[in-house]
Amino acid sequence: MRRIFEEWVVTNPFAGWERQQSVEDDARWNRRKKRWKIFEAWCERKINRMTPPGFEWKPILNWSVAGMGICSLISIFRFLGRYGKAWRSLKWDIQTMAEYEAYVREHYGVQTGESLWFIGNGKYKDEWMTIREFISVVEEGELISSFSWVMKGVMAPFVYLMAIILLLTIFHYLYYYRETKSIYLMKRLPNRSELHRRSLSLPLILVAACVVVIVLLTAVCCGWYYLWVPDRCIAPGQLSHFLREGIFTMWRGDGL
Amino acid sequence: MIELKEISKVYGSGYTRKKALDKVSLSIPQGQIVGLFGENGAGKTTLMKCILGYIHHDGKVTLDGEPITPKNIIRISYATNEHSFFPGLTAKAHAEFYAEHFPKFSEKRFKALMEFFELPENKPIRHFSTGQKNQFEVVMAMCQGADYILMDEPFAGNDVFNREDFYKVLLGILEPHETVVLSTHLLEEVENFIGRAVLLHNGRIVGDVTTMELEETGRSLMDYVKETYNYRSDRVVKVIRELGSSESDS
Amino acid sequence: MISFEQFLMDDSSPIYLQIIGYIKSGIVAGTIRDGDEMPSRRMLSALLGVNPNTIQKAYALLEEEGIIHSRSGAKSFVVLDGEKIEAVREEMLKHTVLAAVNSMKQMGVSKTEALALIGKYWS
Repeated sequence: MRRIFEEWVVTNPFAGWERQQSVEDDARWNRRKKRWKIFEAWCERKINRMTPPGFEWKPILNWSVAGMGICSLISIFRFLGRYGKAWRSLKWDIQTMAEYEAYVREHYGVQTGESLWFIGNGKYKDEWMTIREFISVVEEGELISSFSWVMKGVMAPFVYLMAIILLLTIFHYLYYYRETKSIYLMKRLPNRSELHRRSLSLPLILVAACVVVIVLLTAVCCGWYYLWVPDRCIAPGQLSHFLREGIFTMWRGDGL
Repeated sequence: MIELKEISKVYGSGYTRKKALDKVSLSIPQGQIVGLFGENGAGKTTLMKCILGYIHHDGKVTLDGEPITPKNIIRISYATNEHSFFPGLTAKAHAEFYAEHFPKFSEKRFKALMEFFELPENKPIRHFSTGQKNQFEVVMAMCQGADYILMDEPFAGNDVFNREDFYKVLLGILEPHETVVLSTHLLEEVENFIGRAVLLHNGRIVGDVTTMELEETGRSLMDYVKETYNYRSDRVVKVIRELGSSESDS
Repeated sequence: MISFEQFLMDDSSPIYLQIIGYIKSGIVAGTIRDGDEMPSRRMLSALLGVNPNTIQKAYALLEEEGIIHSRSGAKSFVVLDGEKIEAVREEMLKHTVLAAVNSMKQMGVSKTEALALIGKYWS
């Protein structure tokens, strides 16, 4: 089998080049893998120094990241819900969505029964502009609810997540009493802060990461808030209002 | 020199009040090998924990005149049958941890003792046998670079050959300035190994003798212990007799 | 170096005396000679599982009797001459005979009976 292959390589002028290419590709891929592994090992060492020695932090890290992802999704849904409500409560000259849909069908020659998904879909990309045109038919003086209102209770899932992460601190301290009494060793270290450093670092870093995610999400929500409504429908000073009030109300929704 | 001045420790309150230690005073100079004996509940473990400052107590403990603080506590190491290592770490990782925190950690002694006890370097201590765990606990206490090594019944679960080996290795590697305080039940076994015996009973020191003194008076440690305890029980018998006689009078 | 492999400890008497006795027996038997090296105190302590103070006492007494000589920090060596060996031999013999005499006296044996017994059991 190999002899047949070798013969083919010799006779086929391009075969060798392909093999050469793939060898180079493999080398490049292996280098990348190696670099990633070195980075992973570096991260592991750093985290090992921030957690109780021998503590299994990998599952905690994985669950926290998963938790941040899930909370982000839930928060986005909550935001879209409230924004949708705010958006729909604007008084348009087109009284109902039904009227709007009729207009679109007529204007774009869409048959009844075809769906009207208009966000990001290539077919109805023009609809995106159309909606903005439509919204420009909002009654004079109509203002959409404040950004603070829209954000109310959106970040509630994160409160639970951060609370659970902070509970981890207790687990860290308890670790020194379970299985063996390594607390005896920790209490003899000349460096008094070692015990607390190792118990508090990871939870605090995870909470900080949550805060970063929350800030990013808020920025995205803010962008979304301004995107779908013409500027005249947005009361001025939203940002400062949010920073004064919204920041405090976005943790607890009405129905919580 | 470690000095204990009138150390008292009481557990519980009201009906369950127990005097674990009752005004215990003791001096431990450097270079001694001290055996701490006493029945269960005599206060041996409590005494060691008081020296290390793990529990609140009345009275003072000083190391060379200074109270025990994070600055000088590295001069004391502790091996306990409750085990104070990190179960998830390997022996090698422990050595790294100790080297980082204890400036006098001896890598050389660590390697020698690990080899002597034939302990694996790259296995989490969790997966050691009980005997190996005890040995590892003692190894780390020995390698910390402490001047005072306190060991609380470190051999629960090790066979006699293990123990014999251990005493001999200890005698071989101990420097003249290193002090060992070993609490144990195994009187006869450690008789030759120790230089001084301290007896605890019901939280009080009832005996404190050097092995030299014992040799000079021709007593064995067991003789001494029996003497001391018998003396105590004589007092009890005396009181009971007195009470008995006073009752029969009336 | 002098080997302590044959040395057996028991509870009969203080360890330091037993060590001294072992050295003296060796001298009398001729297995320990002038110039032989004594193991270091720490090594003997570890070998026998005996507290260093006890070992120290034995060495100090041996030095006092002039049987060993140690330079500070360095090894100890046995120092013997004909006279000393004789003296040690006499001392050991004296102890052995006294022990036998005392135990026989305790059993109520008379001197003539004792001498007769020795004659009987010599071979």
